[in-house]
Amino acid sequence: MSRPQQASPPGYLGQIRILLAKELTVEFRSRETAIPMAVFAAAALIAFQFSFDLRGGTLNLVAPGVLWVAIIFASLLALGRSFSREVERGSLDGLLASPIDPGALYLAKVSANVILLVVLEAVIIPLAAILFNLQLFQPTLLLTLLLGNIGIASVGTILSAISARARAREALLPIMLLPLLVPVIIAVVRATALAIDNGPWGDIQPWLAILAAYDLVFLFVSSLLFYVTVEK
Amino acid sequence: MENDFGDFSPIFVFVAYAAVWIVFFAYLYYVARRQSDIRSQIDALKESEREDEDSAESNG
Amino acid sequence: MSLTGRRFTVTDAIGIAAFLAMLIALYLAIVESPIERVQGIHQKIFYIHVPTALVGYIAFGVVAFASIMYVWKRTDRWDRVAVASAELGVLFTTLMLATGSIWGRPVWGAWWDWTDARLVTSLVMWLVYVAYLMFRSLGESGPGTYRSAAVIGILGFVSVPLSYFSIWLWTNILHPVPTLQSSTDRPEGSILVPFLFGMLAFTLLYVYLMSFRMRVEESQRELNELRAAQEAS
Repeated sequence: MSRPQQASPPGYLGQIRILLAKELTVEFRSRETAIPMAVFAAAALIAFQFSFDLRGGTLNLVAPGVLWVAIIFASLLALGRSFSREVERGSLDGLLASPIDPGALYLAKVSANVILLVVLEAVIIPLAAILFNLQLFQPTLLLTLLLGNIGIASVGTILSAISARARAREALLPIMLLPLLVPVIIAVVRATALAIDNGPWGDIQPWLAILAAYDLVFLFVSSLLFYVTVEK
Repeated sequence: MENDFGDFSPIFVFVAYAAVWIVFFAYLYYVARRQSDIRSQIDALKESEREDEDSAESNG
Repeated sequence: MSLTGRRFTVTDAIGIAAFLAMLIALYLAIVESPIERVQGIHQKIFYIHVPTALVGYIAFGVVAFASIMYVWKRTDRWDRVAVASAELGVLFTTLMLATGSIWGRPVWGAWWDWTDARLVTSLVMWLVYVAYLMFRSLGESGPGTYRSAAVIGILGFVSVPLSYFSIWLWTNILHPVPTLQSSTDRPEGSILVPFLFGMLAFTLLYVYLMSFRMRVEESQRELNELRAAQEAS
């Protein structure tokens, strides 16, 4: 005898947790995003080395920009797949047919992309520290990285959903993403430069405040608007 | 006349104003062209639709 | 409907008013306005540079407003407003960047300066809306694309205050804070009148081009529907 399910459906946070677990399981099984991202970013760093001659006096000036450009370009690999994978498999419609809040789906995807960026940085930051002899292990840098990741993921995830169904989506995503990320790029590069130079907290703090504000605005507005981009 | 800002020839002012006027007229022309293009396509489609109906009636 | 046999519309009246206002603004700026002491004749570019910039901001504000209304009401008309205003905003902003660059060459000694916050953030704003138009032109026309475009139109608006307020935020050497706000002595009427007339002329031009451009969009959608209906039958 089948019994109707009595358990109440999970709330907003519960939905995010379940969806995030699904994302991470898919990624852990296939490993088709995190590893290519890290290898690509490492290759980019090496290419930058030959382009800019990352040694000596100008290193601390150029390194923050080089690091973040590598991270942002590598993030495009994760963001590009974030929704196109679902569209290709037709699983997005299934997800939307379920009683899941679209905002929860958005936040789960953002969290998954933040985690992918953290994995990427766990590889690339030590690598950059060794290759370029940089003082990268600063607590303020960790905070900058985290806020920067949230910025990239919050803007990138909704644009990923928007471009997933469009023609030429591989080109559209970076075309839309990079201009909208300019405030994030400015703030993280300045904060990173200060962190590497052991700058005073008072100088770094305004940049982190701008970053945090940008992250919050995008997370809030995008999670509200997300349903518009995916509805049938 | 020379000063810190180089010569005071009106060429830059002329180019700036000319650019604005030319761009607006070019845009206006472009939009008008597009409009008449689309209209003629609509007319052609409607015409062919009517012909289809006529031929269908005469055949039927 | 042919051009010759049609009635005189409100749009036509606005078009004529815009054209006349542009002519008067041109006369006021070139002939009537005084020659500025430091920048000389080059300062006259101000009378087109600033109005195109402000009308560009307004146009992008209209994109954001129309996008919100489209998300809310889902009526085709709001989407047409958004796409027309985005195209005009890009047009005006392009002219703003071009006239600014032409102004900069004799006065700053360079076409472009990456250290000026207003300059750089305006370019970013321009890029955001070029991306918006590109998204629209690459997507197939239909509610799916319109909805996504509306989201870009809303999110992309962050670039507008970013550009507008950039002069108060950080390095600002070349773009002064507006005089009416920064100092108590009012600018001479001889500068204010041509400027305000320029604003009026470009605003009228914007309104005229909006109704013109929206009509094209309307026809385009009529054509798309006709084609779809014919393919279906």
